[in-house]
Amino acid sequence: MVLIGVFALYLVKDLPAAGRVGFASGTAPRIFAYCLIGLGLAVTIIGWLNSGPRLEALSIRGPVAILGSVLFFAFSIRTFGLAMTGIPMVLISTAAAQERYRWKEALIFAIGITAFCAVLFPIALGQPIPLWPTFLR
Amino acid sequence: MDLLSNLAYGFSIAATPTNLLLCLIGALVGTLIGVLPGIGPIATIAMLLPITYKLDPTGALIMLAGIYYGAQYGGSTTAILVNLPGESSSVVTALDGHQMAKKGRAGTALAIAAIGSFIAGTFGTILVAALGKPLTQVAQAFGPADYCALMVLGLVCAVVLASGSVLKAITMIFLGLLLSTIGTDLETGEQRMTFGLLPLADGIEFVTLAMGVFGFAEILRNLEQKQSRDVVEQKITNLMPTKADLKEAAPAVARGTLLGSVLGILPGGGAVLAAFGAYTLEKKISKKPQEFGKGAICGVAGPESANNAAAQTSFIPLLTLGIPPNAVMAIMVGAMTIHGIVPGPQIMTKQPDLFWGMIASMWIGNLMLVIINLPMVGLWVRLLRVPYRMLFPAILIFCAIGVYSINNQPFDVVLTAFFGLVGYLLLKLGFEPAPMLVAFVLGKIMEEKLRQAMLLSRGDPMTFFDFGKHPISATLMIVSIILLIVALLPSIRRKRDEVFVE
Amino acid sequence: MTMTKRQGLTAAAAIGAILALGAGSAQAQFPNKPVTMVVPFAAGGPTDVVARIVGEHMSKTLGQPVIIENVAGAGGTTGITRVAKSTPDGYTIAMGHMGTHGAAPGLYPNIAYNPQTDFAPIGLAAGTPIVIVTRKDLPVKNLQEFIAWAQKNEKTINNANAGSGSVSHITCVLLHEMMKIDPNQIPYRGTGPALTDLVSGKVDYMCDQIVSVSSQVKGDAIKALAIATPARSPSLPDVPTTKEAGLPAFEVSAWNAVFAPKGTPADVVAKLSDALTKAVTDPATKKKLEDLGGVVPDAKGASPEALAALVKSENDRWIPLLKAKVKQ
Repeated sequence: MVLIGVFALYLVKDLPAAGRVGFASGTAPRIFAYCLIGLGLAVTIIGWLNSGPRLEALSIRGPVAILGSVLFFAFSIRTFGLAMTGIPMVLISTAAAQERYRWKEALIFAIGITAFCAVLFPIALGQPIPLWPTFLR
Repeated sequence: MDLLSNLAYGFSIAATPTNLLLCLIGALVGTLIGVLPGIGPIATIAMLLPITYKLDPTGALIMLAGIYYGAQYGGSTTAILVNLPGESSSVVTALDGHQMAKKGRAGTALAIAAIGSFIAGTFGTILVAALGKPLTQVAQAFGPADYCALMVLGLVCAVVLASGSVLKAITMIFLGLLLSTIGTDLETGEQRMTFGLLPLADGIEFVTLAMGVFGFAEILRNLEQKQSRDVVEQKITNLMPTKADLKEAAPAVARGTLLGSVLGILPGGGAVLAAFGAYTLEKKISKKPQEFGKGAICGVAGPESANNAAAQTSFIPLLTLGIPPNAVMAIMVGAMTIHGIVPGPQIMTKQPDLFWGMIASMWIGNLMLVIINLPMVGLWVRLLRVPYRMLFPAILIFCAIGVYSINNQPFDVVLTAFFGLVGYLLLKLGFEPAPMLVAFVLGKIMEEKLRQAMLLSRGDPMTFFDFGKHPISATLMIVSIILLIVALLPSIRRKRDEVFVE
Repeated sequence: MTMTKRQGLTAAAAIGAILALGAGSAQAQFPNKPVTMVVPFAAGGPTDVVARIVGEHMSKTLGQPVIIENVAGAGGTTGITRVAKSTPDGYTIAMGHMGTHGAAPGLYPNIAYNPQTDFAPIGLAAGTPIVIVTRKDLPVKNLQEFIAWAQKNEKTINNANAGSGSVSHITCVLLHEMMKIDPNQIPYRGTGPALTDLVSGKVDYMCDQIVSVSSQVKGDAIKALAIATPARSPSLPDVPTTKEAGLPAFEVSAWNAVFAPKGTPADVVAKLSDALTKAVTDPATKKKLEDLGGVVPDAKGASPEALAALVKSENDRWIPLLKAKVKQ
């Protein structure tokens, strides 16, 4: 609950630097930000007063693996191409789910789904998505 | 009957075997690509456009119509099955549609969406054919002030989207509004909250935000709760809606169709407002409002019908003025210009075969959609039986490719991951993402129109309440204020009661 | 340890060999793989349409497909920056634009490329004339009356544009400079909504590309006062040129031109330029572009030299004006 309030404060801290005061140019974001702070605080206060259900514990492994795999895609798609990006991406993300990691299954699946994407997007639909690493082209 | 003979003429052009086949292929391919999670209608249409370049203009147009409807329905399908709205108007479908899927009623939800869309599409097409010209006048009556007022009304309605705390919903609305102001200022070209990052200069893409807070956050949550995803996998009841379902949904379809037809005429934001306007309406008049957000069939039928009716009538500004009302239409116009067709006011008189052929093909496109999708409902539903540990990496890679392909920018994918994290935290804290997304979409339009109205009136805020000059705006503003009070009163009163009880 | 090190070395050598091979063969027989043409705007826009029409014909001459990659953002500068920083081998080229190569340095202070020094110009693809259009019931009959009306009503008139930095914005800034007025400018998100409000008479006038407004003019939804080119356009033959209408200095066009990154080998530039010239002089391609209202250059106008000169003259014209008139 407190988080959103902090989040809003952080956004506002950034605002005066970004949106100069002028006729309606930085006005709208600022109004929204102030309202957000107010509401964020209100939510926080009510949260304290009511002391509702405990927050569920945040798990770490899932988010790290999932978001990590997506970030991996973003950083390697242009240099390594889809073929070299898709397989590791699927491998990383599947790591999020398993209590016991099934290597073989994950690998076969990763190759399969990557091949499917490769055939579909760059080849069948002519999308300008790099398929192979830059140094091989 | 002029209209009938014209329509018959249109069908004589559109309904040749070749053209029917093209439309079928278009709708099929559009559905197949659009149904990939993470590939929304805009991406689908942009990817499939080149296929039509080789055809003759009429054929290309008819195939485009097929692709368009296919892509749209594909977007709704992912919203229902995996809670991934591909475009702004299917955010609302995801709310109750995905809940239905979790209860094992995915088939029913998909079928009712297809049927509702078809009925709405038929009605919308007739409306376009019969009343295109006069309806343009209605759209023309809307100025910046009126739009702005309409968006305010929309935002007030967005509060109703929330199934939990009203205060939290309002907070999310403001967060959405704030996010919508990121990017280059429209009037002065100033960079706002971009942290000096060039890729943020054009603001955040809707798809980026939606994939993050809905798609990725949903995956993260599902991975934690083993139970909930097993429910989706196992308990699948009947595929087709029962008689009782149809009876329950029918009035919602009718209301959605009407609302969607009206709002669709307005360029920009019409379809979004239509979809969740219909949702709000259904929730308000429903005898069981507590079911909304937990898988109410009317919560799917109403918005889906409104959405599709709006998709039809949004052709009106394009056909009568040649002005594309939204991003999807802009791509369609680009496709037409490549074929040497420049849509505009004279298209109706100068190229009647094209005009009426297009209207006929709109309806055929809708028909193809039902023909293709009702049998495929079973197939889609079976997809849910794929073990989740295999389903989610596939969703992830499709999302990444889908987001990347919009601007071919890796940064967009990074941003999606960030919003995935934000969405996950928000879910944990009990905030719902839907009001934020709606506010994000409306906020962009609202700020633009607000600034325009202020510039036009030379900075007079009372312009919104001036009955003499802007009767529409004034009326809408007053309605919004009343609605806001009505919406807030019970919760304020309840809060006070709670405090007293304590 | 030694094993892995040696393996690494072998791999590095192999990669080096492949790279060398790739570079060598690229010079020997360009092109031997598809050429990517970056369009710095979204699919379906005027620049995208020009790129697709020209690219299709260029691929015939080059014998390799020309793939269009839309990299939209920041007034087109995102996509152009990417091309400016890419390997100068001719496989990544850009469909630049009056905004990205003419006006952008005046609008974006942090721009990461120099239109004149960071590119090897290939050639002009097409120019799209700018038309001055007004609402249909504006009480003026021609450009002269319009200028008089605008100067008299400077404080109350409304000029619409498609957002800060757009073609419709900067061309009207130039027009205002010439008319010596500073009227109220209403920004819209794109040409579409601006045009909608012009058609319904909520704003008074705007400047925009002929392709965006010709059908509305033909359908009598708006009035066209003048076209800012030396010759009349076949798509709006009744509209006088600015020269005929008495404002000869207002001659602007939203041109589209092909650029390669600086350092591209001369023979590759020559091959690309040849393919582009063949495309724009091909009767079918030329007709497609002209149907859109475009002015298609002849072989000389499409040459790299002509483009270099155009970029320079456009920079000289826009950068000082926009730095003075548009706040940043």
